[in-house]
Amino acid sequence: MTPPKILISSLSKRYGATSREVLALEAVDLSVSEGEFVTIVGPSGCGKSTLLYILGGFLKGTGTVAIDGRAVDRPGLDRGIVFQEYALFPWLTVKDNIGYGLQTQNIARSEREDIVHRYIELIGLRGFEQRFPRELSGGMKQRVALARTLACEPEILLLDEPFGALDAQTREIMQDELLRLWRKTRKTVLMVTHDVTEAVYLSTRCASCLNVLGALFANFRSTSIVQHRGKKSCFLRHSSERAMRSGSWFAHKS
Amino acid sequence: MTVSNRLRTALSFSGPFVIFAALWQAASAWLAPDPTMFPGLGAIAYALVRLSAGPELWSNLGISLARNYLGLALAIVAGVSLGSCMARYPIANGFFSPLVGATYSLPKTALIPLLLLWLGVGSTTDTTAVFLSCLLPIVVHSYHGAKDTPRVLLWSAAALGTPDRALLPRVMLPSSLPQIVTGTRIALGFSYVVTIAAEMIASKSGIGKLIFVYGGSGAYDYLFATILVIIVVAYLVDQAYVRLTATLLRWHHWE
Repeated sequence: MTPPKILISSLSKRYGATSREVLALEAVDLSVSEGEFVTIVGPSGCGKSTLLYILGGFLKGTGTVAIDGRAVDRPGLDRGIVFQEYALFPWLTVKDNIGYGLQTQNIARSEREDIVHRYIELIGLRGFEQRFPRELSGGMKQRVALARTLACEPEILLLDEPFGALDAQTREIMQDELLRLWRKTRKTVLMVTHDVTEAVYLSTRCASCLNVLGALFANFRSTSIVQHRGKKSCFLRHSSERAMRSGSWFAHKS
Repeated sequence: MTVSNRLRTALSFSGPFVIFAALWQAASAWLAPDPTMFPGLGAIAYALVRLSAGPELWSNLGISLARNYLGLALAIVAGVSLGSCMARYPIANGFFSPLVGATYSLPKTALIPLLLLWLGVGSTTDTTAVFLSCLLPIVVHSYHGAKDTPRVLLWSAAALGTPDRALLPRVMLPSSLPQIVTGTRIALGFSYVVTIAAEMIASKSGIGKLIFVYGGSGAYDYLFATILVIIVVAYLVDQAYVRLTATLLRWHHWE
């Protein structure tokens, strides 16, 4: 049997000194198959971003985290990450930001230019190649960040509340663009968000992250999103999950 | 910019100087017991004309500026290397941080007599004194700039295939550039003070020596004329530095 694309089992993470440590994750299990779009929803501080950072190889936890059966111990080009705060290199132009990962892989200049050009077309930022990030709007920055990550052709996309800093209108446009990209490339996507509607709209499966009133307990529970008369629905069964969205855990968006 | 705006800018810039000059002139005329001790503007201007006609001022100015900017340049190279390495490698920080903390507020001019003893009279002592004074503000700013590199930038760079050893030059250094520029500007201001002080104590040439000689022989009009020259040079260099770095940092969003 082939191992799942992403396998997380009994993963825990503690922050801080031993005397005053904070438990961010405890015994989390999650597995994601190739081509799935899984969202992790939960309130802030529940450890969902921590999970993503461990997968990215930026932080270390205890337990098993494996990609294609190989343990994750450091960042790698097989996983691309997009942060809520864009994290573009402010001293590089749009073009150089998108080309950054290609340059570290020593891809020849002419080929690099071609790829960068293609992604600039894809995100609709032609004419902005020589701009610096500070000259762009939030939505444009996030497009560049997405393009910079996609240009390296990672197998897995890790998205850390990528649209959290955008206004509602831009967010909806970006969600549709992300869906379009995902349908085209069928990459495995793991996305963290606190927006339940967004999670249901975008993903094929939804994992909720519970943190019971600040007690040192966090758990992940995943639910498939089913198509019902053309509307996506997400049923979550746990009582505290319902409490998370004031009883309206029948979230849907056509 | 319209003509009246230009005029207003020029007036608001020159106004304080005009008032200061008037006060100076008044003090010279009415307060000073002896006009040679507190020369008026006319005497200073005359001294300035005489000085700029001869080679003495320019050759000494050249020597002083060479010492000054050599010391500063060495301090930038050493300070940025040290500061950013301290930010990147805990072992470097553990070793240098107490030393930097302990010597930060020490007035480096106090070391000039000691340097004189070790390195003798001349450019080496002067340049070393400038280097030591300029080093610390650059180390501290460079350290904080590199330390404040947002972790998402380091993570993004790592996820995009940057090897660990390249994180310092490719991410932390450019990210700390605005702070390095600020630290260097502070050091630039210090550098003249130390160059002149060092030359007064430990040199046979330079602007500091010139000021010292004029002061010792009672030629106060020449002394002030020399000081005026160094003020103008320092101001012009600072303005040029600000413009140059603004171009260099056009990507940066100043808060």
